[in-house]
Amino acid sequence: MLELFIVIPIVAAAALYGFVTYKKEQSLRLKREQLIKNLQEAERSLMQTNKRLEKTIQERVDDVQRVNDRLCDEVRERKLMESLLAHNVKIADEARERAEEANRTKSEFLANMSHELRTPLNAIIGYSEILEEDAIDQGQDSLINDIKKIRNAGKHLLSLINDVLDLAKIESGKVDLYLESFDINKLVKDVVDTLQPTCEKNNNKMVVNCPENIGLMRSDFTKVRQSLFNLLSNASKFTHNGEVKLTVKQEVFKAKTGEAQKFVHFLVQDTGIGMKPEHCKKLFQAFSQADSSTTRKYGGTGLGLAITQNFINMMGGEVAVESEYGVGSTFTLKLPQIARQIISKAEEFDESTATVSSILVNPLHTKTVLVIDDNHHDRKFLHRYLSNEGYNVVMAVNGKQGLQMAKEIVPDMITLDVMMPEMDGWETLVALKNDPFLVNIPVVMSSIIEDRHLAQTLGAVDYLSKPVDKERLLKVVDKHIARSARGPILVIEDDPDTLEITCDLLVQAGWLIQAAENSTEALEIIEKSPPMLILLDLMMPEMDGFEVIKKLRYHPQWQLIPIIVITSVELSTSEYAQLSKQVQNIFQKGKYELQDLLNEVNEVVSSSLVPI
Amino acid sequence: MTKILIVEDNEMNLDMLSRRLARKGYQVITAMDGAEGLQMANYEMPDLILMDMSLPGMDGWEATRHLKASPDTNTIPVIALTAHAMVGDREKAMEAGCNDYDTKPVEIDRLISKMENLLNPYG
Repeated sequence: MLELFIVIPIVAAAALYGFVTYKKEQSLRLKREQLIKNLQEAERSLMQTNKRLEKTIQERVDDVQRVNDRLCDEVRERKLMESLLAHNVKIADEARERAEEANRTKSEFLANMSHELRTPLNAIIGYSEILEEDAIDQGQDSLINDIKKIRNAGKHLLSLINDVLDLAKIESGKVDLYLESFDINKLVKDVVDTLQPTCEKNNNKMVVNCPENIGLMRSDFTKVRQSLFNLLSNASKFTHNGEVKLTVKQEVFKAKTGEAQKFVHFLVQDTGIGMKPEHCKKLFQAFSQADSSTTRKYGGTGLGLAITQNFINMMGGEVAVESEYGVGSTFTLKLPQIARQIISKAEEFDESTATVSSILVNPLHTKTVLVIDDNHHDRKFLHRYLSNEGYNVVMAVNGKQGLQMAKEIVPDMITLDVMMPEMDGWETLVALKNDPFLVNIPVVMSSIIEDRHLAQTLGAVDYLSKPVDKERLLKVVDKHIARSARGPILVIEDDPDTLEITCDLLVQAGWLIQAAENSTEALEIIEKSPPMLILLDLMMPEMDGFEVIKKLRYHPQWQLIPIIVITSVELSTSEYAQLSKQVQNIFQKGKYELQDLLNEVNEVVSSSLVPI
Repeated sequence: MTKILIVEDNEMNLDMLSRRLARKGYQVITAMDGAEGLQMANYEMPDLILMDMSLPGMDGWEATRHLKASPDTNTIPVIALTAHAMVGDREKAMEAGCNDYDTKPVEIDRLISKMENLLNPYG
């Protein structure tokens, strides 16, 4: 039997809740009632579901609203924080600027004040000394003592001003090291002689132990002298009827890296009043004497040791004290025999600016120095010292690169480090001297190890010991560059034999040479390092000599480079006339004497020595 | 008599120094700025010059450089005098070509010993 069903799915919110079915065989009324009932039930169920859903949705909406509110609060809060932060940063910036400005003002004020204070003080001390001499001459003994008091007070005031100024300068970072080499014995004699009167005044004996062969040290002479002076003057001041002993000796200190470093020790021993341990501790602080009663009794500012310590630290040394109350004190100054300049971050040299291409756009007549050194710091120093003097400095970080660069740029001079990995300085030197194009370039060796003899044998012109002394470096460079081979001259010639002969001839005559076998190569060389003069062959594959001339003459920087044409081409009268306007001279191959060419080269170069 | 040229712009300092040196037996001539100092050096050919460094117009460094650049005057020893006593002043003076350096206020005995060292280098 076929039964007919009407099936109505009850679906709400994508869920099937049930079916309403209608079956044909039931009586129509019953069926209708049943249907209505079912429908009513379905409707109720639907409404309930709907209500549940609405509730759920409302809850979700509320949740979202809450989250949103919280986020809004957070955003507001963050914005507030940000603006506060920006405000604070601004305040901090302003404060820093004000502080820096104040510090500058303070330093300037101190410098000016020091000058202003010294001028009248100068008069007080000077005239009191004149008066004292007058009083002595005229026998007015009653006045002498009072005049002496004026003079001594003036001198005391002067030492106070000096110390305050020194310390202020140290604090504002205005103190630079000026490194020079000096004789340790001379320094010691100088300081001891100056202090002898002070020592005698307190009836002290001054004993000096300094080996005669102690030699030189390299440091800041003025600061070493002042530091030693401070220690010895303290020792003399705080000792009566005793002994002040200065011992100088050399010590080798081995660093963790295994590198041995020589130190010079200055020991200042006295048999004076000594200090208690608690006083020793704050001895090096500014404005603290061991005992405030000391100031009254012995005078001074209490700044001397603070200044000394600062100076000694700047030079890479240290100062220490040992003391026994009532027995005496020993101060030890340890200084590296060779002090090195410490460079501040701001001065750090930027190596990226030192590539060949960026450097070689300098004018023609700037002398170029090629620095070959694997040590970053040494390169930096050399670069700074030399470029400050107006030299064009090109750098290579190893022997191989150095050799390559030397060939490319033909520098006026080379400084060459000895100790380098792989190809060392000696090997590089030999390679340079074996290259006919580079043999005339003066090479100065630089190294910690002294081997002048080997350097000379291998063809170096001079020797710089590391750390390189600025004065000496400049002297050496100046001397050898002035005497160095001239040029470079660029020879452009496609026939290798002719190229070699021409180059040889010029090298023997003392010229530096750049060589190119074709125009493209030539233009690359000119781009990197414009020569002083070009010797040009006309007949070449690809781009010929005429075209090279055209290119050069239309180039703003190269148009004044003199050109001498050497050609085997029979030029027509009009060609000759045209070419004569563009080049300095034309030589026909096989029709000129070598000496004529050399004379012409000399003449052209010397007459074109005007800045381009 | 040993002739000393003092170049100094401060009248009081000039007066003091010249009186004291005269008292010690030197012949003293004076100039009050760098240009005058140069002129005096060329006319008078002193045995030694005491040069204040901060002078009006041409300062002591420049005057010294001129003196040392000229074959007529480059043998005259120059002692730089400066009131600053700044670290680096000594170097600056030496670079300009000064033979020695002293700070003001002048300590007369120290100055005279420096002068004598330059006047009689072998004495």
